[in-house]
Amino acid sequence: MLRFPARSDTATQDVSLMNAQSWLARAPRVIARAVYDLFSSVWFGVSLLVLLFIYASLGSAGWPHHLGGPLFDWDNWLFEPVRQRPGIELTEFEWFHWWPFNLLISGICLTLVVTTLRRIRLDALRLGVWMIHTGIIVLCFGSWLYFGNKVEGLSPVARRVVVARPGDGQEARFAALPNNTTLVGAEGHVYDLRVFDIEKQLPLPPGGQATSAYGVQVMVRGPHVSYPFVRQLIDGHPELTHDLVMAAEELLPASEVLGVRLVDEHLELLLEPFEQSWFYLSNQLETSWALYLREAGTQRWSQRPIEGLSQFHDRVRVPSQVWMPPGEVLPMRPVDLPVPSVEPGDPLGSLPVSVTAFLRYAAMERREVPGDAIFPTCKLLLDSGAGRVDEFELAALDPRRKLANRGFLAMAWAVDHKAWTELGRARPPSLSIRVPDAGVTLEHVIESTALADAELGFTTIEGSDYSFRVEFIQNFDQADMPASVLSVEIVAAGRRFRRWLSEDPGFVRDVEPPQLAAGAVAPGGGLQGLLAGDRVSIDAGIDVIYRPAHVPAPVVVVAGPGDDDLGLVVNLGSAIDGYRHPIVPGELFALGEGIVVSVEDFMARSVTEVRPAVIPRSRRQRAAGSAFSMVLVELDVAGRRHEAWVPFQNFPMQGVGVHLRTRRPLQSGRVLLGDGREIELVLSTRRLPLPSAVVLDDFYITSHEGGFTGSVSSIVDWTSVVSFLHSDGRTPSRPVSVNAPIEDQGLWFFQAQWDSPDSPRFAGDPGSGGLNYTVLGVGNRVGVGIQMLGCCIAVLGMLYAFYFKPVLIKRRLQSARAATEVGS
Amino acid sequence: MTPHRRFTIVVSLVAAGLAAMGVAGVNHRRDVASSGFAAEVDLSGLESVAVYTDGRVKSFSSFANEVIDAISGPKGHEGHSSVLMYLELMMRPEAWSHEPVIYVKNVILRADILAAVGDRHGDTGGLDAFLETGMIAPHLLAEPTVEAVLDVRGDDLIRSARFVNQVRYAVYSTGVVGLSEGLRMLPPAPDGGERWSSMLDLSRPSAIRQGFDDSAGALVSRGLPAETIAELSGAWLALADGIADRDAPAATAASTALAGLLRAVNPGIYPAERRLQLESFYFRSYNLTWIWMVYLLACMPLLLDLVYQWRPARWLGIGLFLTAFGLHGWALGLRWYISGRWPNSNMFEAVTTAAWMGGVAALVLVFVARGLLGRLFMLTSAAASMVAFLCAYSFPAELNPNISNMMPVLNDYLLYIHTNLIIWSYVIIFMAAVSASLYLLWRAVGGDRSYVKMGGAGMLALGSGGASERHEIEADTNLGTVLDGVTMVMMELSFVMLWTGIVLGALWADHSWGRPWGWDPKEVFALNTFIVFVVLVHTRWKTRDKGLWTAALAVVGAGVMLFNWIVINLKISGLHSYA
Repeated sequence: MLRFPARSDTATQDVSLMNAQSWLARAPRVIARAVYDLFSSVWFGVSLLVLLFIYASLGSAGWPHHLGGPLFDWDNWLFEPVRQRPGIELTEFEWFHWWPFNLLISGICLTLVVTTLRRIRLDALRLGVWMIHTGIIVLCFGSWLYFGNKVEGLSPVARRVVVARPGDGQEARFAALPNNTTLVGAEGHVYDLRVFDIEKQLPLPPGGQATSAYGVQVMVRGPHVSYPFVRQLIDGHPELTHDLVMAAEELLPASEVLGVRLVDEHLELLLEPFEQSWFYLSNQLETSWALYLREAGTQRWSQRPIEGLSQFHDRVRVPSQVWMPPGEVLPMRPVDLPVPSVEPGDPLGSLPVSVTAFLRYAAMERREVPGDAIFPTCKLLLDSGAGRVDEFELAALDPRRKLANRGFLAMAWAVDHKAWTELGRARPPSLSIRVPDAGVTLEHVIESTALADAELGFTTIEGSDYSFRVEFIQNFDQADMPASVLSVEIVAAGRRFRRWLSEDPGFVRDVEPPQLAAGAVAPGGGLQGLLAGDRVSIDAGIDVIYRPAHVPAPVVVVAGPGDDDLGLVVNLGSAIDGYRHPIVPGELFALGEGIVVSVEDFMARSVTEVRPAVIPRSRRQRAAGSAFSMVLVELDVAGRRHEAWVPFQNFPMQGVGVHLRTRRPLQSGRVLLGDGREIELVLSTRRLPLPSAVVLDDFYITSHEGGFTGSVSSIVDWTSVVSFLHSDGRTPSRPVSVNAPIEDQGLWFFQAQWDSPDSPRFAGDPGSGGLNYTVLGVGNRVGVGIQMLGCCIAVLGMLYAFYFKPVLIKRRLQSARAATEVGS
Repeated sequence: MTPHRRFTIVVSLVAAGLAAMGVAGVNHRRDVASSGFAAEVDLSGLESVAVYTDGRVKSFSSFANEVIDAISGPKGHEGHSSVLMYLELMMRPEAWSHEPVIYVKNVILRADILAAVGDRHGDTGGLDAFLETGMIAPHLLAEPTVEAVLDVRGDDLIRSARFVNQVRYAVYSTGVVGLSEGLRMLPPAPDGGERWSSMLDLSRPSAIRQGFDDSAGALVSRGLPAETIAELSGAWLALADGIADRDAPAATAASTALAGLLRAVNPGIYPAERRLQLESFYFRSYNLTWIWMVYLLACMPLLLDLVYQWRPARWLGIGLFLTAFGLHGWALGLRWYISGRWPNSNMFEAVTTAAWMGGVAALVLVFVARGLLGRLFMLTSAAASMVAFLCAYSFPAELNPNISNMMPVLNDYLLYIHTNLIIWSYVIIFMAAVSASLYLLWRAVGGDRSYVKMGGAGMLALGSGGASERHEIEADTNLGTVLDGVTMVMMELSFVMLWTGIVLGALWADHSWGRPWGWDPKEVFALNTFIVFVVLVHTRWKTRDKGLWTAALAVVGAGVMLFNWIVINLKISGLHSYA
């Protein structure tokens, strides 16, 4: 032990100084000796193994967490991974490459080496131990090589890409995936293209070698033909391309309806192989966020890797950035990560972009908060008496939200007390027409429509050239459509056009009827079908305002005229009908027959805000991965701050505008720059280039007896037949199936995911027969051979140590015994 | 009292405990005798009827068992065979809508449902048993208040959603349409493609006959002659009417006729009658999981032999063990024959197959080391197999015995070797823990610090030189040494097998998943089990009380292995979730 000398004792001082100097001189050797002893200690090695056991257990299984309820009920326990806790936030792969793990493994290897060299003599009896220890060291070296170089990701490859050449614009390519869309053409002559249907084995006309081929139908809305049509493309047979038009409520070849093979000769559409040049890293292996940007309307994505952003916990600066679930508190953990440009062609150039918030699992949601302007909103709780309480959101001044529960519930704003009485009265639909130049105003109550009465004549607006008749009224009960749309046919000075009217100004437009072939009608249902035709500029000579019919809803929440005035008007044919019943928020109001309503969260003045709503932990799908993650992106352009919440999108690929699995349109954040450009952003994982592009030549499944039933359990295997586009040409096709990967230029390709068939997922979705794309796993395997060599050496060592060594000892004992017997 | 005496008493008590457990087990699964129509009707003709489901053609009995399991839980509905119960629910839904046929597994959900029923009706009369048994009538689950509870609980994906999903699936499966659509027992015509048709395609059962169009036309277009359809339809409706009218002779006759007609549709693809009957027998016999009782019977005399060295107990134990092992092999072979693949694709198969492989290892070791040492291997194997079958017998929800297709990713020769080697090592680890526990018991009652000096294989090697040497060793060793030796033999075996299995798994994963090691929980805990044994080897080398440390760590290693097999498989999902 080092002792410091006392000041008063010179002799002791000298001795102590000499001791100290001597100790200091010996210290390196003593320390080295201690370290040497430590690393040749079996107990130290055992301790490291125990630490490794604890580390691996915590990182892999996690820590048991009691969810509440009986302690001995298995279902009340959950294992929470320690590695995902705030402040650590590592994937399994990262946890097992973190410095504590590396330190432990290094310590174990060092101990193995020192102990083996120092304590275990290399002879026939101990050869097994030497082999085991050597094998472990070789394995660790191989693993260091392997995991140090590991790259792994997914590469989605569609079967075919549709090449669109509009004639007077740039060519566009978009993958042949159900519902995939693109816009192509020069300004003013834009084609809106959508993959309408895909047939894997479309029968071919007899006479050819093949009996069927991959067929793709593309819905076309273009500048040259006033109605949508479908173009049938057949893989490998461009000469068989033809158009289909809707006639008599079915799609028929244009040659039969119009006498021409192609309706629009200006547009050329072709099927070509989809060339995938990228693979996308997986967040499950290693967090690898990237921001993808492109200018709206263009197809090419540029990526900007996001460094330092973890993936397990939310990071926001202030609570007002998000909607929180009731009862949950989000710790404020600000983040501000610069995301610099790394690729040429970045639409923002070198403009700095930052990620300032991250949400693990959220969805954009609109809610009302207190505001200054009159905008009455409330939640109405309806207890039907059958044990269910349903909740409805109402907004009196929002045409799309003033009705709920299929018109049973409504909310209205009463500007004065007189309006209370109006709410209980029915009113027919009407038009308010004004012709400013003629100074004419007309109130027209709609009693009939041309749809109901084919003989309905035009009404002349006295004192003007205009005459009109109402064609029909269409009422909708869908959240994304106006409640009521009216079409009025207007004739003026030899011109005839149609004006669409609605409470929603966005739908008001003038349309000239489509020029259809005889017998053909515009395809498509719903509002889009109704609006078919050539949109023209609004005729400013005539103003028409449409007031839809007012049929009093059975239950109307009435707000106003004062900010605190709230009441119910009931029209149920009961004794309480037609009166205003003042209520206060939270009060239960019996409608009779066990039905009770109450109004909650009433605000007379509110403003609508859209923020991400954090999904409660209990409602998060574990399998969703990053699908519901989003980041807040901020950028400064010419001193002006822009920000946008950017959602996660798997595989942002050129020519793919839909989510592969759900077929929903791609979700992106958008920023409108001062120069008029709109930048589209998505959050995803980093992409890396493949050595050469991969092409999917075919994809098929093999099934058990009984054939493929739609269930995965009826499948034996999935096979992607792929080829690679090398610089010297395309390689021959090779199959990739489960447990049978292939290698190309140092990367291995595995069958990872597939396009399963399913039924329509949303209105307008055609559904999918599946098998239109494959997702290949892509990875490297540096050092695997060395790892395996180490494992094999260790196995041989174990066999030697446990089974050969005893035989050796036995033989030696027998020899010794024999020698003893001979000697005696 | 000597340690040996104390050990004898404790082991005898363990044997008595096992006997009591066996009696309790027999009572646990005692069938309730059928009565009335259920007793009179003979649906054995349907045992040779095949049903297509999820890519497999199985016997109707096996299929019905699977569906009724999903509806009524693993205990099924007492007094009715699965086949009869299936047909009853389909043909007479009104008779069962107020009967407790749906099983709710989660206790908290049961309490919520009970409260919701109480809210609706003011009392929960007649539902007192629900909290305990979990059985409830379908009509109660359709109550709005209960629906509201299921909605709320279904939103909690962490705790209760899966139980709600089970209930919803059971409610759907109890419905006539669900039952009829699922019953794909009509094979395709010889030129009619691969698709098996459901009985809804043939004709509607009486319960839903009204309001549906006959879809037999679709079958005609799939190549079935109209007269065949008419015959099948007639037999099917006769069966439906027989069950609906409680006419046992008519139902029996119709079921036999239907079986013959179905086979005649396409004999070329119809499974062999023998196979279907064996499959029906296999499922009717609780998948032969009752073999655990035979193993239990073997354990008792083998334990008594261990402590008393009593010759009749010895031969009785050996005889019973061989009988149990033979039955075990037969059960395995039967399942192999029925499924058409080596039974190692789900937890039920892995557990029971591993136990059998433990028996194989024990018998091989018996030939290397006869005498008490050899009989101890039998004892450890009997104990492991007994626990394996007991678990399969008692927890059919967790160890689902139904036969399904192997997942495509498992279809690889390397994986066959990997999984079999791993589970083989696991059962040997368990067997080592049995002998280690006996050693710890021996030490707990005052046994000395004896241990085998040459290690497990060393002991066997030295003992295999000839009869004289073996006797010399046996004479020189006490019970502690023997127990330690058995533990060491199995520890060494499992050490090599586990490592080799892990390596082979890595080889397979490398060409299947693209990486040999993914730090998946199952991989990590297999490695953790190995680490425990590495610690055991080194601790044994450095400590004085080698036997005690070896036994303690062998038990810890088995604990980690069981954690890997049970907790990781059932609670923590990962890449190996199918294992």
